[in-house]
Amino acid sequence: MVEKTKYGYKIMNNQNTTWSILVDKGIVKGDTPLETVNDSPWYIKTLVGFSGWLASIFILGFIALIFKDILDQYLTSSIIGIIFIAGAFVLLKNQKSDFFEHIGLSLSLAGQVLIIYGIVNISNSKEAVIWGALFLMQTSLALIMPNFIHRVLSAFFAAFSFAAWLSVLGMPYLASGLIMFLCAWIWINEFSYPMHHRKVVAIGYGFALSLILIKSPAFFNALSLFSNTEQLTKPWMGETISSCVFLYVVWKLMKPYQKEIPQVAVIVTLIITLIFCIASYEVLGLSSCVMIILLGFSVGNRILIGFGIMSLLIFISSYYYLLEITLLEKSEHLFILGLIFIFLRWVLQQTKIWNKGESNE
Amino acid sequence: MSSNRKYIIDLINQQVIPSDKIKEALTLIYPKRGDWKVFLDNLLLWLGGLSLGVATIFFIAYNWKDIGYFAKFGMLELLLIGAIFVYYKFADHKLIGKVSLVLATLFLGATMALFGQTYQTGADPWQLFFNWSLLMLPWAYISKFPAMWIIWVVLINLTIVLYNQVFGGTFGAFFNSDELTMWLIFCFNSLVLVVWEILSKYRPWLDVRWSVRLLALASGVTLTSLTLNAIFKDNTDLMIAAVVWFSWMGANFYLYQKVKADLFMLTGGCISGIIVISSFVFNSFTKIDVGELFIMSLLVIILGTISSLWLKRLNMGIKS
Repeated sequence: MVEKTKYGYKIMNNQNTTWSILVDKGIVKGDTPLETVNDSPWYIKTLVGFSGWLASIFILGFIALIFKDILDQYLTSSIIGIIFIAGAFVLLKNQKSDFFEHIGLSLSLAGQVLIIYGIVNISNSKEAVIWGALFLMQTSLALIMPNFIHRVLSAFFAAFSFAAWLSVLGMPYLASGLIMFLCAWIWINEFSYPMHHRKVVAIGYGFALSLILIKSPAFFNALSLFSNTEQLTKPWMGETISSCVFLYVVWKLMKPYQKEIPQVAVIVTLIITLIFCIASYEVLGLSSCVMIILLGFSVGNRILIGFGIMSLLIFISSYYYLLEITLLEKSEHLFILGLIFIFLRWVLQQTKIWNKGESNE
Repeated sequence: MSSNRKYIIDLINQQVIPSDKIKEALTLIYPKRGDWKVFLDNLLLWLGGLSLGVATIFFIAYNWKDIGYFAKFGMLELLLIGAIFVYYKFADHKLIGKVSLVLATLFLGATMALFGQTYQTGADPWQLFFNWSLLMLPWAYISKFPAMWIIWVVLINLTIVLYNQVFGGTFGAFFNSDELTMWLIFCFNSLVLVVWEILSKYRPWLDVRWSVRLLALASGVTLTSLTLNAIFKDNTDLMIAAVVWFSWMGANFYLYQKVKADLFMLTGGCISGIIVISSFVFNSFTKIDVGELFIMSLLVIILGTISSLWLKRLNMGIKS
């Protein structure tokens, strides 16, 4: 029981207070439910994901040795992969214990590698086919597989393979903006489908993690590795989509408060956001990090805020290694941005509209 | 904010909150206007400070010849004095004080780099980071801000790595240079972790979990890598690595279960355990065949299951 630990009393008190508020508002009735769903913290989920991944490597080796003759027939390896994933689906669907969850995850990961192995060989290593197939497979798995960790991983790989696929097709830079939009849309609509909340959150985390990777200067430098064909898109196109998404996010986040604040304040905030977007054009990934932090705060999600802060620190330090522009130009961009941030804070201090309204703190 | 969020989501998932009341219940999760103001105030100040500090470092790193060294020194010293002046002026304002000290630390680093560029002292890079860490100490002390101490720890870590790149060979007869670096990093981060945990009892501002977890992560990752090296490469005496690893694991499991409940630390220990045990078993096989790989996959799954079951049970009690 919760009472056993020193932290337990605090949690119980917090929950009791929240329950009392809900009763006062007429949302719930009666006493606090004794049992709450005990969702484990993110690091325990990471452990499960990690051990599943590690076990899948050994399972793959095991399968490769058992079926070494059959695996030369690439179609067969894909079929075995599909059977593995189907088995994993059944195990994860009827998840009776952590043991089966681990086996399910390992089987699915091993199955995915077998399918990819088959596709790589059947397609004669055509990159566009491989990345396209990977994208379709991961998207389907993110939607179908009945497990939180699996959905996070599949959504992550789906978004990543989508970015790689578009790059191979000669349209790099576009994916980051589109994934940024999907990520924003998911977190803004986190509670729009209460029955599917866990699915939505898992896919949201997967997209957020992928967005951090895709928007990083290191990925930007590596884009040329994916793209052998003529490039139909330019970096500014991706950044323009990202700016539009950022504006959309700010507008959506202000919506619940629009009855309380004057219309002019909404317009001023959007103009300020636009200034930020233009100023951060050359600082790759900055707007996506700030967006993740804002989204995290808007739904009280500390993990998302943590993702945003960590990625912000990594981006700013890895911005040093971006090859496209000189250090002097980078210094100029950051200097101007710094001044804009300080100015915006000053504007915020002068504005009275945000002072009203009680605080949750 | 987090406990409210978790609890309300729990209630929604259990359908304790009727679907037509979900929107109203969610107002307890969403921040109020006042919360937004405080949050944006903090965010903009940090973003502004960080951008200006990093811009200065990039500017110095570019080594622009069109501006003389005298002008660069003047500029950096002005910035440094400015940051300290802001700290002095806003000593009562917690946030501005912290941001200005972090900014002053970044400017100090840029000044050290410029000093090296200008006088071509022939000094090794490790000296830059060592001097930087030494000179920032008073600010870290007065700041009462964990992030400043983490910056200091990072600088010392960099000093150790760079120092060993130059002088690691001196101890070559006794230690592999890379191994020595990792042992030193492990010892330093573990020492800081222990001191931090002890001092946090008396200095409440130090009791910030993210910083302690970061130190534990640095310590745990290096020790796990060293143990793996000992298992696979025979670079390190396996006995030494085993004794240190077991002691570290024992201390971790005892302290963070019995003394100061922290599931993050215990999870880290479990992950290290899964890696080390499975690597040890794998390495002990004389041949790798179907049976061995089957045993390995089963072993990892069993270790993972036991760990997650144990951690989830603790989580029921702690709910950290």
